[in-house]
Amino acid sequence: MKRRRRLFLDGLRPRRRDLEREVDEELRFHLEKRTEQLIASGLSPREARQEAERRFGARAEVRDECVTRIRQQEQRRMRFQRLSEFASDIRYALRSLRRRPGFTLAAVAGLAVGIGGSTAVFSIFDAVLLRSLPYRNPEELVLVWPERRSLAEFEAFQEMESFARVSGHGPGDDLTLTGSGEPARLRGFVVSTGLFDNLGVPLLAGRGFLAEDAVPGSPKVAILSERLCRQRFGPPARVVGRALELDGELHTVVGVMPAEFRFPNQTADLWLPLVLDRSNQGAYWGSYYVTAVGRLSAGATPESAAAELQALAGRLRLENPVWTPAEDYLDSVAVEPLQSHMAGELRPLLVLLLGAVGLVLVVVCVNLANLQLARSAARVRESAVRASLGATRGRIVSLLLTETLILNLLGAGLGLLLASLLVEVLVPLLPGVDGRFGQLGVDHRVLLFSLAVALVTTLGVGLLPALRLSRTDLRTSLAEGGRGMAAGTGQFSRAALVVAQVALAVVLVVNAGLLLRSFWNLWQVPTGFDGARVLSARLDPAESLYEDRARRRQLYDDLLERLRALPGVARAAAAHSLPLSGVDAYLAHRVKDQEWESGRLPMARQRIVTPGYFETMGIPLLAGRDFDGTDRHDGPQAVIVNRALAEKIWPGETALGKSIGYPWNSPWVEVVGVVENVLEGELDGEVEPALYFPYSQRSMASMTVLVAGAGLDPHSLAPGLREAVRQLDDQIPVNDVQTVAAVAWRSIARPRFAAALLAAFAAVALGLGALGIYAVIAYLVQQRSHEFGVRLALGASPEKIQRQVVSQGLRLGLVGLALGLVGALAAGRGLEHLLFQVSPLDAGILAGAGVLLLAVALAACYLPARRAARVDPLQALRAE
Amino acid sequence: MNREHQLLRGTLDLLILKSLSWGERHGYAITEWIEGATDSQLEIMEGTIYPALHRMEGKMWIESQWGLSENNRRAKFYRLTAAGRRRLEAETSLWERYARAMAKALTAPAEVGA
Repeated sequence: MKRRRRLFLDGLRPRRRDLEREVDEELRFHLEKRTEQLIASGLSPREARQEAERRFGARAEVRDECVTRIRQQEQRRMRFQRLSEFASDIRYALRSLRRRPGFTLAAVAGLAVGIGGSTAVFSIFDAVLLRSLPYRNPEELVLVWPERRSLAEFEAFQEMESFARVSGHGPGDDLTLTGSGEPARLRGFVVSTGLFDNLGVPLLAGRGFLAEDAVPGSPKVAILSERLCRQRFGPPARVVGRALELDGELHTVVGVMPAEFRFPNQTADLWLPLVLDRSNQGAYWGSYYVTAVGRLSAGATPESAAAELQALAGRLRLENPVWTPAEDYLDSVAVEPLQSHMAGELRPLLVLLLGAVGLVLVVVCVNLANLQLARSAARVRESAVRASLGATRGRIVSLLLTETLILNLLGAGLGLLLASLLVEVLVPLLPGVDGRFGQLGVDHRVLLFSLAVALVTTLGVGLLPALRLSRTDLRTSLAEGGRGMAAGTGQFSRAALVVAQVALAVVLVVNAGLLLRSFWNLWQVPTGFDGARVLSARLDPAESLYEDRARRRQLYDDLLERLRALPGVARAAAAHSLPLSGVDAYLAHRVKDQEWESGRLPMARQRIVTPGYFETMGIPLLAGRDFDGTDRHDGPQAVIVNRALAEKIWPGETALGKSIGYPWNSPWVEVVGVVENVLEGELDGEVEPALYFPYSQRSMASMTVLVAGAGLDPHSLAPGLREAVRQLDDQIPVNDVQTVAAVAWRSIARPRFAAALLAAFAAVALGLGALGIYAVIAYLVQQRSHEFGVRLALGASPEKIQRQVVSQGLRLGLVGLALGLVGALAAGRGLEHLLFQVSPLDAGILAGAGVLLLAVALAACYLPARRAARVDPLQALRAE
Repeated sequence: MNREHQLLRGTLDLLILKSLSWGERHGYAITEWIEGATDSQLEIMEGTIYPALHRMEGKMWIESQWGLSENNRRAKFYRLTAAGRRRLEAETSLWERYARAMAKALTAPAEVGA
């Protein structure tokens, strides 16, 4: 008690002017005393005064020295006092927070959610969009477009002047590790010999790939990731030199890359050398699978590199001995900074999330400011007493801000914990964000961010209530006993805050609605196949064991036979890859009896399928026949085309009996059937021309088998499928057992993620908005219970009072709704490119959000309104 | 400032502390006490005690308060703090040792026992 009183008496501290006057007074007192004494000893008053002055010495000097000393002393004291004031503010704030555990908990929890959410999203945003890639001078690295190049082109890039270095890597491939414990499926990437140097990441142990590793027929070598190394083999240094059996072939481990190196993405378990095989000119020139990353040489810019690349590509196109590259080839040649390439697709999503989580944070702050204002009504009297005891406005404001600061720091602390959890949860759900962007998680940048957020929210939350309190008019609040104040001016600021809260919630609800709608539209897109009844499983037999085509054909023929015989299985088939699975293979093709401009050959998607594929997938056959036993591997080549291809190449004619061919000189392939279009690439994509080749003539070792059940849960077919594979060859790994619909479901993971997260944000904001309305109305009812009591006593009906209270709450809701809809329209424009078949102005969603909001506002008013109508007139009057 | 004053500066603090050891005094009373106690031998410029007082207040050896003088005039009174009292004791014993040693040295014969 004593301490607190002293604190608020600070206003009585002497000011600078007073100091000088005090010194003067002290010195004058001395001189007068001395003069009196000298007069008493017999001197005349004049002599006495002179003598006194003489004895005193240089008066002006003494005065100045005293003033300086006191000032220095005062400054020291002030510094110390400010510190101790701050310390006592903290103690006081802690005590006052402890006294109200409910409020403190709610406030800290709200802030933890707001700060934690925004910190989590920021840490992803930072890693993907702001921070540079974890490679040496990453700004020099550019990706060569189109993303997949032939070996021939890749080798030609090495001569380019714009690039100091060019490295290449292939798409990932699954390899089966055998011979060292449990067989495992590993993800391997072929990389050119200079890749590790080009990216500038040193090996953890061993060596990188050498030129001789890229020579066809040289001993097989591999470089492992540290993760794989430690999981299965032990310390990296001891693993180098060891032999591994991958896909049945022995590979020597020559090096280990550090765990932070996750290239091209975090699935990489190991890297194999990109073999420069020039013996097969068809594959060398015509097989597109190398992604080239160049490091700009000194003085080169992405533009100069692109120009050089254009010229080179034009030359290579004509030099190509096997075929002339097709459609739009030259138009698409370009370079793109590696960073923006990697982050590119994620940018709109992350910007959206950051915006949404920022709105949630603002809602949390507004909510807290509202709670503080409500509390400040109760503290008007306390502040008034303080002010009357001489506390300055600054002191009162700083005391209240200290309290808010403590809440915010506690919230930020908890928020950081929450953020590190959230990052763990969110990253796997967010396709495309992974370790290639470097370490994701809470680091010092993220820490600084959340601290900054906490400080900003402190000011945002605390300043309004604190300023309002410090402006408190002494006399009125003391006279009214602290009751009347809040009902007046405070009520307006609180109502304004609630309106803001509701408006922000509306913005979030509308945006979440748009994204949910857009996601729903995506999911409703007719794909052209019936995936829900079909179970799929990928078989990855070791390539080396199934090198022989006859053996592969035998494997899948036998397997399909067994599967069709299984109880509950109606149909079975296999395909190299599934629609919407993200596995794309395009083929440029010639057309018999048609002249296509060189370099402008038509492109089509291609898939390799077994007989029965279309029937199993529910794709209608429009003309001709399905593949069957007559399409022998040594017989005439057959192909089935989709309607889109037939209409594009042979408009108005039948496609049956026509022929297409590979770009290079090879036998013609006859069209034996036409099937209905299906969406092969993406749910929001277009139907494209497609070619289906029979498995018997284009066999692959790894296939996806499909079984369609007769109405029952397709997952119940899984054990039978696994058993059938095991009986044929128990060394074949069976992976990705899922329905075909699940494959499509996975293809829209990103919009699903955005919609789900935004819906969660909107729910939080809506809940806080409801809480805000409730708090304001409940307070109002409490303030006016006397009035209600009187009116009830005078015969007003409880319903009328109830209606009045509800209408007051609804008014807040409606104003907030109107403002929110305006905000949502503005925000929707930024969202447009993330939406699928739904306009940001979608009337249904705007109306839905309005209805939802009014329902929530009604619910929030219900309890206080009931309380108002049930005021006991006697009690209300007696309480006076 | 003459040599005597130089000498005095080092001892002024001690004299002020001593003058306050019987209770609080204002500045004028302090100079009166010093004059009386030293038989006016030290010829202090009276003004010099004020900066010293403020300096010692800054060191928290003394504290001050406005009060009323004998004939009811406002005057600033100084008194020792606990730290000031400890300082006085320490300085006194130091001074006594110093004075004894100087006195002995200045009266010592030509040869002193080793």
